[in-house]
Amino acid sequence: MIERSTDDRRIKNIKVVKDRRKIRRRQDDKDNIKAYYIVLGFSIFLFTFIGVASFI
Amino acid sequence: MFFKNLTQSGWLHALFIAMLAYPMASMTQKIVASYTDVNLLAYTGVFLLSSAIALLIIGGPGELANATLKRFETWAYAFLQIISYILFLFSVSYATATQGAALTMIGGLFIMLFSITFLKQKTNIFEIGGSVLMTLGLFLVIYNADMSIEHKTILTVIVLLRGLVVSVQKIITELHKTNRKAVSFKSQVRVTGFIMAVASFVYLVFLFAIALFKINHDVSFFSSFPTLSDFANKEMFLFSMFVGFIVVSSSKYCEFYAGKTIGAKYLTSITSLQIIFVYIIESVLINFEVLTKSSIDHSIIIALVLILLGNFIISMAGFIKDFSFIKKGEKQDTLDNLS
Repeated sequence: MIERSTDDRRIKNIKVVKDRRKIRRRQDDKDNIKAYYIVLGFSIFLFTFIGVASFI
Repeated sequence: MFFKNLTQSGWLHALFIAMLAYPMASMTQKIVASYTDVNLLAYTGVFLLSSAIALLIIGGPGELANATLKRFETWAYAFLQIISYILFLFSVSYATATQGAALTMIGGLFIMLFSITFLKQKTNIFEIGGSVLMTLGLFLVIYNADMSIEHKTILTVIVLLRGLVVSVQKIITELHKTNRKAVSFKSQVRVTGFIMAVASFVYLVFLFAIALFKINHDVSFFSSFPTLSDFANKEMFLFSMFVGFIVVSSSKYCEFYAGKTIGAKYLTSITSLQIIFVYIIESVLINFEVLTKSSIDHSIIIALVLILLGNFIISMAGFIKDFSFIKKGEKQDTLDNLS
């Protein structure tokens, strides 16, 4: 009985670590996408602004 | 198979920069400087920005984006870019165009020292020989310069400082953590795009700040810096868009790829050979009457040849050393000796 419960706890711990890793990876993916669109958006905005000012 | 290994080794990337990208960029810059009233610093800022856009679009969203933004090396590269341009402006006011070209090629000497001392990279007799030739060339350029001792000292200090700054920038391409982590083509392009975006933002913010300062203050040092109206120039925008999207984006991608594969030492010595290809392209353009013949300072030809030869020997020594690894399809870790 004691062995079984120790084993269950061990498996539970592994699952928790795996889940945490998954959550972190998902958060990383979200952050990467956010950073990409913010930087690209700002670059295009700045570039368009200089372009429009050049042609007016 | 061999060609595939060679493509992945980074040597072809470095050769592309030396033979096509850098010569095309400097020829376009020459055309812009000769035929338009475009401010070169504003032009540089906008082509850095357009290169970042091109790289980010090709790279698409994905891994290493956020991490690249947070890396210290990304920001260091951006700030060193500003210092490098300021030192360049200083150096052209003291040296002729040929002297400037020769002195720019001296960067390899500093990188050689850095890679031995800080990166613990091994060196051989040919590389040491090449460095001695380059030192001799540097000495000849400064010794033959037609100027007072005071100006020679100032020029030497500027050259040494610029060499130091450019070398640190090149070392960053080798050490940049997320750049080294990028394995796929898209990741590599994305990481380079983020570095270039940060570099262009920092550079443009700096130029805009100087332009705003110039509205109310008249400081002679800032005379070559752009005013706000210099950013609103149709020719500047079109030229920088072309150069940024095509030339600078591809050259920066290759620079960061070659930096981490063959190392900053060999990358710098190969790219220093660009002056030969600049000369070839310039001769073609002069034939077609696109450019007018520029004067060459013949007093430093020997020094120029020595510096070129030094760089050529160093790059060949590196290629021969890598050749057996390329044949086997193996990759050398340039930072292997760092614990």
